[in-house]
Amino acid sequence: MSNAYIFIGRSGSGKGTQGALLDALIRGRDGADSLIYLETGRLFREFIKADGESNRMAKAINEVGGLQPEFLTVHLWSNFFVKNFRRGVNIITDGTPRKLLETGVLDTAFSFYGFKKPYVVFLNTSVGECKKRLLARGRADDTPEDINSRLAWYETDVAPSVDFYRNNPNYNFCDVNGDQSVEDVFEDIKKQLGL
Amino acid sequence: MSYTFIFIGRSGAGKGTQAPLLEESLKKIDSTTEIVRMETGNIFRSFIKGDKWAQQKAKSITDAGGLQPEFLTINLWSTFFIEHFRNDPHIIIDGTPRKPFEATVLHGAFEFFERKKPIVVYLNVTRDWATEKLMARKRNDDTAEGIAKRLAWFDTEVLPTIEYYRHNPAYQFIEINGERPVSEVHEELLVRSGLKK
Repeated sequence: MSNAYIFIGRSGSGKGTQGALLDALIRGRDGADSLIYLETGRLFREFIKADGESNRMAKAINEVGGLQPEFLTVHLWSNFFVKNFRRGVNIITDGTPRKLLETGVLDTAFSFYGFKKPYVVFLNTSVGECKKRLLARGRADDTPEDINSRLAWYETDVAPSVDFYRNNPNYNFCDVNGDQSVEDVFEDIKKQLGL
Repeated sequence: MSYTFIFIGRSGAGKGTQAPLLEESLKKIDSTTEIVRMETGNIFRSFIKGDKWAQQKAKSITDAGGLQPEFLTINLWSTFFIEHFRNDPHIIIDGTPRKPFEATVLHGAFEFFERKKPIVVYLNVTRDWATEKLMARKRNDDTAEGIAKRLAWFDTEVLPTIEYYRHNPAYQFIEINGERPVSEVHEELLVRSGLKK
């Protein structure tokens, strides 16, 4: 049976790192074609690089640190789904969903594809730890100011989605302490996923 | 200023007839601005001809007279918007949105594309009237059961969306009695939307 794994948490909480570890584990067990990995951030960076009016408008929003409209994020991941979903594959989402409205739309996709009780891996990493990691990572968009604004909109925009999943009987919600070492976090995830 | 029109109403209410008529009238009034008309039903019918897993699944939902998931409807109209919304065209939409939360996502798209005060045209007809119309024009994919189903989900899923628009200050809401001759409905639309002075 195929499963869906939704990685959710603050910027810097370890979603990409832990998602990659789970990706390797599942592909190692079931084969390279057994999983698709949705990384919305990457799709977005590609989108704003392309030429076109919508692409330029999205780029302008990005440059002032604004939040993109839901229709655009849904556009990107739904295209990815239509293109890549085959019968029987597992999926990891890293960076989707964010706002509650988007969470509702994603819910319709998982029912459509017949996933029973997707796993939500909530990487519960403290603000201090996230900041420390993001500063250490030192990407161009990881200035203290950008980091603070991303961590702030997590509270207003993404946290309601975490609450939506937390007590939802249609999902398996895993609350993982993300302040531990990478290895310990992954052990915890495996245990909670029953792997 | 460019117009944005959204036609909403039951299957059989005349959306597919009124939308092209509006396009013609708009063209006469303003021949220089491009007009983009999106018919979600057509886009869907061509989508389900494909052989992707999602396309096959969507086809079986259509065959059973079911309601398509929002992520797919949004996928189709967002793709259309991104491809066609250049140079601030007049826009005529028929068949989107359906559920209220799709209307909310669509609202974000209107803000993104800087569409000022879209005009929502609600073609109001009774369920009995729509049933009669649909049975008379019956396409080969229409069964009596499928028609009944579509009209039933309009009441549960789409009517709340109409209420979302009715008193929304960001939109102009026009409700028209659709149980009248085509030309009368069209005329009323032109007058009430301000296209005809």
